[in-house]
Amino acid sequence: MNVQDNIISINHSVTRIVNAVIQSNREIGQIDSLFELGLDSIQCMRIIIELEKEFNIEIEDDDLLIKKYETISSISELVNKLVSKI
Amino acid sequence: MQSVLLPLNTPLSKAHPHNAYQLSILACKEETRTWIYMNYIHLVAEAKNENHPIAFFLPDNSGYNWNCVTPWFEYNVLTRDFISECRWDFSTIVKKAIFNNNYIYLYINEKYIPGTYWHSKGIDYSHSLLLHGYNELTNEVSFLIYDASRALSVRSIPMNEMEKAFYDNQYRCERYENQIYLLKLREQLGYKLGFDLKYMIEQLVTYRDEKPVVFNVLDRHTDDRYRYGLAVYDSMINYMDMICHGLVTNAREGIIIPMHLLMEHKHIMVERLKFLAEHYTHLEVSSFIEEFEYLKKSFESLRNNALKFELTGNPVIISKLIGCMAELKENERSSLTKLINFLESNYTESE
Repeated sequence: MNVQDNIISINHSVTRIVNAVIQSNREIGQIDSLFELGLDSIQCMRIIIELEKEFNIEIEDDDLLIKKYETISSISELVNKLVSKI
Repeated sequence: MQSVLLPLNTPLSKAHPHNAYQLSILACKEETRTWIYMNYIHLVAEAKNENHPIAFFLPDNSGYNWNCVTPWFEYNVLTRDFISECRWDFSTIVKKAIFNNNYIYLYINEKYIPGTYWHSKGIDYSHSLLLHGYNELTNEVSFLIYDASRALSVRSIPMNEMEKAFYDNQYRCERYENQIYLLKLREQLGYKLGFDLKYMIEQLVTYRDEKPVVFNVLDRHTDDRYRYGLAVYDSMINYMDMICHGLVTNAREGIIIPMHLLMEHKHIMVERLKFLAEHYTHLEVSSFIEEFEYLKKSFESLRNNALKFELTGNPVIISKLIGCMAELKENERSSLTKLINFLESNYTESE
């Protein structure tokens, strides 16, 4: 899989996980504010746990700050960065 | 038909209801900041209290630390027993209070409050909430409460449901939970309260040095079961150690909420320093603001790790938290020492 395919694949998985956790009544867009959709710290941790399982990564303390999980786009970027390090 | 919704704003602390409700009201008036930042410094931990290891230390004049009164409230207090004896109508009290700009702080049975954890389980649970609105047309009362995921939210239910929640309630601590507070935010404090930098420095020294805090004569006679200031971190470490050994299991009340409170304590410190910078323009405190921002973010990470532990049960997380707490305690002590030294050397008697 090339880099571009990887990014797309990561994004699809992140989108799926976020939608499953937040359970909004509509599809969540890439730059929709998850906080405005009611994302709280417990849901955020659920997302993080699922991401760690899905991508076999460990999200370190610096990346455990809720503000880093504002959009699907920002989460995908974070995961991409962590996956690239493996 | 009248409808009143008294204002509420985002509180500086949400860890415990009595602070959250008080601060939600005070946040509506900028002048209250002086009182807030001169207080909300001290922390206390009751060493053997598994349910509330850490709280802000703001006791009332009877030594009760879970009250919501402040000099910024005019207040009246009734008890449920007294209302019953006088055969007063609960809904009339609520309407008259709210229509006269009184918020109402009281204990109810959450089994009757939709959206709460206990309502979803159909289990009795006495907890506090803050009434702040009433609509005569719909006969609904509006209130601030924690929902099932412990987020603070405003919602409304019919008055008769609130009345049921009020009367069909077994208190855990009758002496205090039997009380209804009618709270009115004052237009003016009634006396001059300037920000006292010397007082603030003294409180920070007391906090850093883990000394007992004495606000009235009752505080002088507490036994050794209390810890103050930075020593509360040791209570948290002890509790987490007990979790590691399987002696306790309550992560929510024992770790997550206290960790959240510690994060808020640092957030309030950041805001206090910003307030200081506004009023003492010759004091350059930006580096201290950065240090406490770092502490705040660190506690946010720890809190999130604690949530992760609650969701996964992974004991490695708790061991990590114990190490981090010990380190953060010394980091905070160091930051406080630098701040105190700086303020003392720049403080002049005329301030």
